[in-house]
Amino acid sequence: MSMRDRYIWLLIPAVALIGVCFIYPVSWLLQRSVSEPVWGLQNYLTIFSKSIYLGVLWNTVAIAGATTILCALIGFPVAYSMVHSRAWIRKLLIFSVLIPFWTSILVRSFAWLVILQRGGIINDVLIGVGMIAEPLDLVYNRFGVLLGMVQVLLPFMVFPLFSVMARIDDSYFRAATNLGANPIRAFYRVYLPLCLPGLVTGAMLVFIIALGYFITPALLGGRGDIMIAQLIFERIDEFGDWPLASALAIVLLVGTGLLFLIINAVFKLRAGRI
Amino acid sequence: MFFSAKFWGGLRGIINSLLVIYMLAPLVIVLVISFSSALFLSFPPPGLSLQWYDKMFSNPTWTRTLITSVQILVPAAILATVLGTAAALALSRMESRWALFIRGVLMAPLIIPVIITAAAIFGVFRIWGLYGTLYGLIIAHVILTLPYVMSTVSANLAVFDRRLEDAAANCGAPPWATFRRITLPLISPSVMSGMLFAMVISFDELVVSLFLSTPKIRPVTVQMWSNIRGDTDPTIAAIATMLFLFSLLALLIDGIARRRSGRAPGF
Amino acid sequence: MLDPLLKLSSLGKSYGLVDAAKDVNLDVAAGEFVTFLGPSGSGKTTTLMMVAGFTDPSEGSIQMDGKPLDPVPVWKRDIGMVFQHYALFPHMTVAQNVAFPLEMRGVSKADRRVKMEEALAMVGLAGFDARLPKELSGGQQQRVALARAMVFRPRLLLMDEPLGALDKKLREHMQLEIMHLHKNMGTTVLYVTHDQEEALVMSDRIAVFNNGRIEQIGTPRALYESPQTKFVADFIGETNFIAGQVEVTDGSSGQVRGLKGQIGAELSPGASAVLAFRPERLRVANGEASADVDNRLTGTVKELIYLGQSRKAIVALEDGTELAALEQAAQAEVTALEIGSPATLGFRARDARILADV
Repeated sequence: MSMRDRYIWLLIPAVALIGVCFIYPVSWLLQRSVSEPVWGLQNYLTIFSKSIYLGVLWNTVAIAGATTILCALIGFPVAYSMVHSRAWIRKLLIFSVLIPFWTSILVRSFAWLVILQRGGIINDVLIGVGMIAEPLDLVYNRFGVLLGMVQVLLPFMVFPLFSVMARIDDSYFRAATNLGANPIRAFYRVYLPLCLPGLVTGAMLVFIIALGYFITPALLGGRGDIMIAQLIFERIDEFGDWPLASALAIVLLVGTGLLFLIINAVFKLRAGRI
Repeated sequence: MFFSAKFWGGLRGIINSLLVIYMLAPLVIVLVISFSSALFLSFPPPGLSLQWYDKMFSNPTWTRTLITSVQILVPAAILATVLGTAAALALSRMESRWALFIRGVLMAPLIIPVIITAAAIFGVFRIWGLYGTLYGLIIAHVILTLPYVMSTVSANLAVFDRRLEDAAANCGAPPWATFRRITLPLISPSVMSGMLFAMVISFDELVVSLFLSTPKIRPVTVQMWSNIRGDTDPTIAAIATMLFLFSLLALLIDGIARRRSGRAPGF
Repeated sequence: MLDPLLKLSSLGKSYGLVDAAKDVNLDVAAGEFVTFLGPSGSGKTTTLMMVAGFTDPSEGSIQMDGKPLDPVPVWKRDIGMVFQHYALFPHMTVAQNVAFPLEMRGVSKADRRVKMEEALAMVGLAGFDARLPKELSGGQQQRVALARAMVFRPRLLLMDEPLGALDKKLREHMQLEIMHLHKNMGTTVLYVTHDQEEALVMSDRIAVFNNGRIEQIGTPRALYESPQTKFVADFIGETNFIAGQVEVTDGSSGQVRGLKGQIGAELSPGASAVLAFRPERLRVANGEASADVDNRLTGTVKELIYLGQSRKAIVALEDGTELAALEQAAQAEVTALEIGSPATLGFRARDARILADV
């Protein structure tokens, strides 16, 4: 209908902007990754054959994986607590999970540095009470990176879990224990399977987002914790090595894209069954 | 039974407290340190003073970068809000498969890792002469914040009763009057909240700004980044506190607006 | 009919291969109350939406006062409409809602106030102007919607299942109120409903829709007493059907399985047909049937249903066909049927219609 058709014009500015200033640049990146120094896949071969790059890829997957597992371990009891607590506690928990999420990543990283560094608060206190003589290395290592990343990514785990758990009727659990299952069995056989959709969604989200993380590992990690995003930045910023940086970016893009498609497929499958 | 209810209640209390400490304590510490009277980072501070805020506002590096940040976030948030709302409106009226595709394309900057967006935009903007300019930074921030506005407004439009527009037309309202009197007032809470978040995201943005800025045109986050990597002096705590309070304020305004619109008509 | 206010000529709407409405022809006189009746998906709402201007016809034309309506956009049609779930503007007060059509027509503020208050008084909601729609009950929202649709005195008022969301008692009350408003204002009304009782109570004429087409148009009485298709006979009220072939016909009357009836619409001998007759036209007896009936049947009483003021008997014929017979309570006592006992049924030829079996 003519009246409805006119709305299509409203799309033009947004689509034009994203097309010219986003889609085009990303394809330009893709093109550079296969056309320099000569046309071919040499940049990708370099990434997948040299041990330093493979090491960074491994770091990326390992850190994202560890973040995901930690988020699940922390997120599960927290989400459970949110569902089963009084209103004001639930509000406090939601607030606590969301505030870091809406705070600048710089502010958060800076806060961790203040607390964890060699001259930081924890070391000050520990030396002050005489528990240690030498300051501990709490930051610029894997521990610091994970501490920072879990803090930011926790909401992506907690909220899917929360929405699933809120819909689980307590009576299932009671029925199971009533039928003779001990609480641990009831948990594994009844509660956990019911939470699984939320857990899977949360884990996928955390993992995908963690793969592309840059600021937190750069500020809180050491040389051994370089992730792919940081490598891309350094390749461009310090060496102007566009072909390799582009190829790395495309590897990251394809990796996240594939994972995203998998999530979608899983969801469609589930939706189809329900 | 297994363990007593008291045990589980206690365990839950401990978990809740640990979580609140883990999530909030670092921010609270930064907040407190920013008011410290000490000359270096120490906690708890020996006394309170505003010396670090004073230092921040008297140091041209910080004031200049703060102004640059505002010069970026205001136009970027307005543009993202206008374009995002327009796109959400158009998409809510399309039924073809194209609508899904276009929505996906417009949401892409939110989904794909920022580092890719940053590298790609940097590469192309250097060629186009937008690197190191305010315009370049504004455009980049519009691209990053538009998906937020669009998804917030779209969520609102999904529950918006389209027959209200039919009813208005039937009452004699031409399309523009219908939009101004019916559609816009009913979706405005989500438009406002989209704009607030666009502002917060633009203010906090670092990765793309890192690529696009030069020492001359530099948002405050980039300045913080280079200072944090050097040393952590309490001036940064003051700036961090400001950034944090800005986010908190936005969340608060949004919360109040939501509550009010919950009581007022429409939702 | 002289100069109809609204004229629908061969109106149709198709979505791809599906015809939502097809070949709709209808003349509506000024002041008439016409109801579109039919099951969901029968094309009644589609037709109404084409008149309102929300749906573009794929074929045919709509004329109002002899002028084509198709080029006129919705907001210039000057047709009032009450929507299915009222579609009141949630962010405006009752007063603002009702005054909205006046505001769009550039009526001065003072006049708006007067007319708005008149309209609210008319629907019995004087003094409710400062309320928000959600502070009103369903019935009150319904009245506001009515006031908003009538405040600018449209010559044509469209109502799309306006009472669908109300409970039975309130619905019956609102039916009467709408009828009174219609009489007092003289507005022409097009009313859509799937509730046949509502249609019978309210309408001057009913257009029965089925599969996108109008099956029959007529007064409630004509539709009930002389349906022209099996669908109409079945959809309006309860009907007994006996299926067979048309045996002899002289054009106005004929026979099916030896039973006499009147021909509803043109049928030739040998065509498959049903004999349709209403349960209240059946006479039941536990012995001999009375003398003044043209058709007689015998069967066994299967069920007796007590309905308070009447009693329904389900009688099975030898071939298994079940017929319902309705008797007033006093008559039922005289007939004194028992389940399992034989019964004789009789009905007059003028009470039975022979209709094409499709």
